Amino acid sequence: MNTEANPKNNPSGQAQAQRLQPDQILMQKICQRDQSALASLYERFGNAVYGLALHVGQNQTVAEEVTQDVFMKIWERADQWDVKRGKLSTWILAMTRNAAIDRLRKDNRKVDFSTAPLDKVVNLLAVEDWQQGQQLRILLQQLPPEQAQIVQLSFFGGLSHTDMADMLDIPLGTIKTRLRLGLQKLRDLWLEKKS
Amino acid sequence: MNEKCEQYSHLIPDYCLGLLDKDTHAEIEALLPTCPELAELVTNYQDLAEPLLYSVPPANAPAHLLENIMLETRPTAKTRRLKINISPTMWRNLAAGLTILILFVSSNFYWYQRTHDLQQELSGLSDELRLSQQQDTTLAGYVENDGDLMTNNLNMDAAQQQIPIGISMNNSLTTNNLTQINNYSPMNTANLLNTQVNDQYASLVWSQGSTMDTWLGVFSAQNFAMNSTDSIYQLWLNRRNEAPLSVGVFGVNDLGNGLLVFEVEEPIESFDSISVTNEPVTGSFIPTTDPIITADLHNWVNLDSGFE
Repeated sequence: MNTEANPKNNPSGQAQAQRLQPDQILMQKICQRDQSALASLYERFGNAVYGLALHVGQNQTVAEEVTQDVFMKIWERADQWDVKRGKLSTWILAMTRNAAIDRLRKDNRKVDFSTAPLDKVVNLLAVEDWQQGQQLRILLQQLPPEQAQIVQLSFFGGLSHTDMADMLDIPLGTIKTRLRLGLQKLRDLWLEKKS
Repeated sequence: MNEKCEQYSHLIPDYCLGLLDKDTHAEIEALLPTCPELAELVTNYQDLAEPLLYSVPPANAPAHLLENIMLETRPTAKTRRLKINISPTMWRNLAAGLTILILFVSSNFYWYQRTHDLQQELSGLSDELRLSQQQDTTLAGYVENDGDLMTNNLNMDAAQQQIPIGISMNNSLTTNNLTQINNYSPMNTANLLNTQVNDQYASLVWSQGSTMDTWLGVFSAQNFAMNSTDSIYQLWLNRRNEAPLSVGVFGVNDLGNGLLVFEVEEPIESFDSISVTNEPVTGSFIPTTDPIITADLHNWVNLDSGFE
């Protein structure tokens, strides 16, 4: 019997099936207005959302409001998550990043990003994702500071080249070069790490 | 990077994460072949965007956040959804019930309208009858009451209703000389004759005069066709084997109403019938047209016995 072909007998397949199923079931319950399901989702991702909101907004009050907004959006748009398009955690974190960037734009604030030291992990999202994320964080620290700053401003700040040039008072060409070089190097390091 | 490419540069992480709407995603996709810098950003972020999301460590969220979220999402009267499972059979029954209800309401509405229309019609007929009776009463009043009063009433009513008073053939009675009717006192019973041909009504009330050798008649026409400028209505008293006796001519107003007061030296009830013809404006010695209306005088009603 080909155990691998039969997912029920394949341990990793079984684990994978178990990992996906709770997210789908959970989101279905949220669609049906099950508050306990939303609370359960918050237990799993609340700290990650808050942490990302805090990192982007650099402000506790803003981070709290963004976190609340994100979970309200999940409550209202649970049906928009499609398992075929990606992981639930990625969907939530991406929504958090955008919500935090929108808040920055609304408040007309521009924040600086410095590579924060590694904190104790409070809540694991999914072990693999978190581990990879931490590795990328370490690699980011290996970039020249000016390139790391530009990469973070681009990704976490949602700024265009022009915005960054205006904010840092650096020529546009310099910004483009730093971003290009920084991303290229980070990607090379990352792919090397993964392989 | 040209301006258009620069415009989309900050959206590349979202593009790589698949978060853009279809249109924006398509716009960027279309730009990539012509924007090498944009394409390079896509290449780099394709591998980095997702892990970068996880590169930020979680942080302890304040406890009240969950409470706030639960408060915001608690079910309210507006958002509470009542789930009712309705089977196909129940749907069919509901549909049938609704159809019956609509038919019932429509049917009731139709009969209500019908009843309302009939009531309106009845009301109209009652008004006509009342008016007709009123006129009869008025006519009776003219003859029964004191001569002065009769004259005044007749004049007043005719004036109020703008009913033209005809000219009797008896020279002693003219439209402007109705005071001669004062000579008459209501000593005798008044008689009434009503007749109708199509929509035209005619009434005749008469009584014997105080001198006992003349008889006074008041003829009322209703809903007669208006005369042309060269014609007039003429009232005749008819007796078998005798030529018709003209008692006067009259016109009608735009409502078709006209009045004629006349006197004769014979009992009106001794004649067989009355008739009205359309004659030249100067009148005729004998009828020149067929009668518009005719009434048998033997069908008169004694007002004292039938009218109080």
